Amino acid sequence: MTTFDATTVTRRGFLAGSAAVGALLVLPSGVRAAFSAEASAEDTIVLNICMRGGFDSLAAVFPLSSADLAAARPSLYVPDSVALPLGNGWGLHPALAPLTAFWTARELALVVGAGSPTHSRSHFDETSLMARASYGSTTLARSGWIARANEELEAASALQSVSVSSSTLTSRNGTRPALAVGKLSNTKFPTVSGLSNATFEDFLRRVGTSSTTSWSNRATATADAVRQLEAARLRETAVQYPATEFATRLKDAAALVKSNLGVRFIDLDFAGDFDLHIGYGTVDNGAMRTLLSDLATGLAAFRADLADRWNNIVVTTVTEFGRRVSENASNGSDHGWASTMFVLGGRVNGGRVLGETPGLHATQLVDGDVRVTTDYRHVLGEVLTRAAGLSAEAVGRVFPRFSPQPLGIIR
Amino acid sequence: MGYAGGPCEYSGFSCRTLSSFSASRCRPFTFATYVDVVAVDQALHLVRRFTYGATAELVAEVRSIGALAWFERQLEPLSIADAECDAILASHPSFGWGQIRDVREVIRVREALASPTLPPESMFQYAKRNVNYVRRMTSKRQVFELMVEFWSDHFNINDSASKGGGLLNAFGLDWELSVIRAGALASFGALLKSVVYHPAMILWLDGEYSKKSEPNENFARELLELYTVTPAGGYTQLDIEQAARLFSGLRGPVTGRPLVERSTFPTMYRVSDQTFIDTRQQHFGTFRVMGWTATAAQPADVVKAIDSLVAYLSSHPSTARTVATKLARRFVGDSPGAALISDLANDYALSGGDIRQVLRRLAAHPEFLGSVGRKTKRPTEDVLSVTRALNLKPEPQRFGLIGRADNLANVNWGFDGLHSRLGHQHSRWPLPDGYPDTEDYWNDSASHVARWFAHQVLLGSSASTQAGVSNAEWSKLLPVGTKFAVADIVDALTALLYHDTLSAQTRQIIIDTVVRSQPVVTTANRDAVCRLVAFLLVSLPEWVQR
Repeated sequence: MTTFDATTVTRRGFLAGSAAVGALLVLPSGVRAAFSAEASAEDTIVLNICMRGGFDSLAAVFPLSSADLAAARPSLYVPDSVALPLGNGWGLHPALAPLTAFWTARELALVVGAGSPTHSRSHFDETSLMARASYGSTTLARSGWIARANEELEAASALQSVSVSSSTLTSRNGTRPALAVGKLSNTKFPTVSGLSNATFEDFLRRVGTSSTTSWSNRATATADAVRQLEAARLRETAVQYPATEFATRLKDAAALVKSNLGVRFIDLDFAGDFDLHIGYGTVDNGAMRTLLSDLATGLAAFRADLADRWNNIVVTTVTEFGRRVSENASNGSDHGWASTMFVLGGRVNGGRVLGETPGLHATQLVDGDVRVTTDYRHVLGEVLTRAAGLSAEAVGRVFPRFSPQPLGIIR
Repeated sequence: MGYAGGPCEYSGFSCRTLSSFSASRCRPFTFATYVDVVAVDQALHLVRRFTYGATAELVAEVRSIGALAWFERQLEPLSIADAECDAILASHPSFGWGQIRDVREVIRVREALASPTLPPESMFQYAKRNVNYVRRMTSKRQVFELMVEFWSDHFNINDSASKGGGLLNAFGLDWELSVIRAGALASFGALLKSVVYHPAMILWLDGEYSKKSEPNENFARELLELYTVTPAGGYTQLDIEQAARLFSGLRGPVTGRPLVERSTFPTMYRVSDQTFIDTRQQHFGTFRVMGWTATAAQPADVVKAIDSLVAYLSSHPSTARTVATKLARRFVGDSPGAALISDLANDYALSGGDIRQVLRRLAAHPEFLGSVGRKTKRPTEDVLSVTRALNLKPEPQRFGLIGRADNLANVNWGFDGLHSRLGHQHSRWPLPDGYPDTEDYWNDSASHVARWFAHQVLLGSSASTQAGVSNAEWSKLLPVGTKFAVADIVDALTALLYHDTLSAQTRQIIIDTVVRSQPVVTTANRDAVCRLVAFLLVSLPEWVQR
């Protein structure tokens, strides 16, 4: 698992060149074997979830029986008696119970000690840096990493990159930014005095041709997308999603996947604020428990809805930083450094805790924070190469001045 | 359009840098300096940038008294009678709910009006937002209202956050009145001082939970990072920790539920009716922040030290640049030039942080004058400019501006509902940094779709009968004698919405599109044609230009 499978990397090229004559017939046998394992010839979709506010992974995924955690977090500590053991010395918060099915099916990998190379504890700095994934330069990349990854794909569809929350930076800017749809249910043409959709589209196109601005370009692209998204907007599902905003976003994401619109990247914000300096609650109730429950129940419904398409998706979670090991004076948690990334999907080599187990003893911390031992770009880099089908050179452009090393997360 | 020399010539010598500044050679900037540089045709530019939308009446007024004279008057908002706006705000008790100063009174009214279907906190925030929308829509003090929005962003508090068991919602009403509105055109130092001591800010950035043993750093961090010097000022984590120690004891006037008065505690030192220092949680000693230092041995010294730190940060050159850059971005362009920023920062420094001086300089600056059409309306400016141009008044029930959110059958078409769909409700941005102010944030597909929807509602083409322009109103909007011809209707509504003409090509595209949908204009469909013409006019890229 330490070297990339060249057949996977070049698969898109073969498909693109041979689509007209039937892909399987012209492929070398080795390549055919490489993707006969997949449920369909669909490309793998990357769904990136941004856990805003700073995700307290120490409450979500933690070493069991940790005297260090028990001492540092008298009121936030999840005791062994209620933790869900993962069988390897690690435990999950009880509110994450719906994720144990993913774990047992080996479709969930947990990357501990993950995070950004910078340690500023600033929401604004870290959120922005992580979305851009560009460090160590005086001129930050203006585009987000998903926007750059999208530029590396062949432009097969205007819906190749979609943002289901309108505020994400990750897929913005660049030459091929995401289509931001907000809510699918609102993504409709106007109805005014007998103006047909086609006439309105034609109007926007003519206006855009006569005076081309960034605004008119976006207007025509929007009309084009709204037309294409109609099938996804009208899609019904039998799966019962929980009544949370996060679940609604995932439901929209599932509709995008299942409508076969050529979507390759989906960018969405978790709906909820993890910045719990105060009002954190306890293991049994309160804000943190609700957030974790929303996360797990939403993902479980999403997986059920995707059914066989689960094999075509890789879900990653990122957060600007984790929380400090010691709880604060208000029984909450302050800004820290490393956190844990969740990677889920049918192609995930899961059921494992990856990354270097960071020490939690006071002497092993950096200014009270868990040290980042795995740069989050290692994880995303592997997902982009092994799942999204980007070449190593392309990923080098997505993450400038950084060389991702695969952890063996993707099968 | 030359910049004739004056006592402080724009392109000249000394105003750019403080080091070479000499008070005798270069007095603070006044309009008299450039009195003849703004031609009459700049009136429309000034009105578009410094109001929530041009109206025929306003454009005529500015052309009549002169752009700069109008602007100067706007900088003295209390000198401007505002009878229409005042009358609307006095017309329904719900507007009063959004303007209650005393937190105890908020709690009392909240309990009296409590409803099982709506969190009572929401009602006050809803009313407060509606008061703002009414003011933006109808107030004659337009520059003032824009500055209220500007500072609401700069010192953003999302008072819908359920902090303090709902107390932040209550404090948020007075915050708006006593901090943002009271200081919108004052000196930055005075504004910042009221920010630091206000219970809403103390609660929002977790000062209420700060302890001597563990000072909460949130307010101290944002004070440096967002409100004043920004990272360009070169502060360190140590500076944040020192400032956090200085603020560790600050508390609001009440706490808990039911309310407990802080004034009843002997350990609470009274700073004002609104602010106390918890002497058990207050750090004493010497504080050092970015070269500033002060020593406090007792609560009265802490107040002096905080005042002194506020004054230090307010007069810091990096703060001057922060304020200059944000004002330039708000009123001139997304990427303001270096010369503009240093000119504004220079005026900030010369005037002791007087915001009006900075605005005077900005409104007459060549970069401002040369920026016509280069700033994009954010959603609130877009929808308000529609209502203002079409003279849509907040009559009873229209736009859901009055009453309680839970009493309205469908608030989606209401003004606050539209702002919600557009992602731009007053005081609802979730983070301390305020709504973004560059086109790239707002120019996404979700935003375009939301604007189509908002325009459709405002122009009366939704199912709702309680919003937008009614059929009867369309007839009144057209000048008497307008022919039943598409081209004439297009010209009439172009004048109404743009106060200007469009290119012949764009005009033709609109006519063609209307004819495809409504080939003939008759008495039966003239209102529908008006609605369609107006919809197409506000769907043009020209419409989003401020």
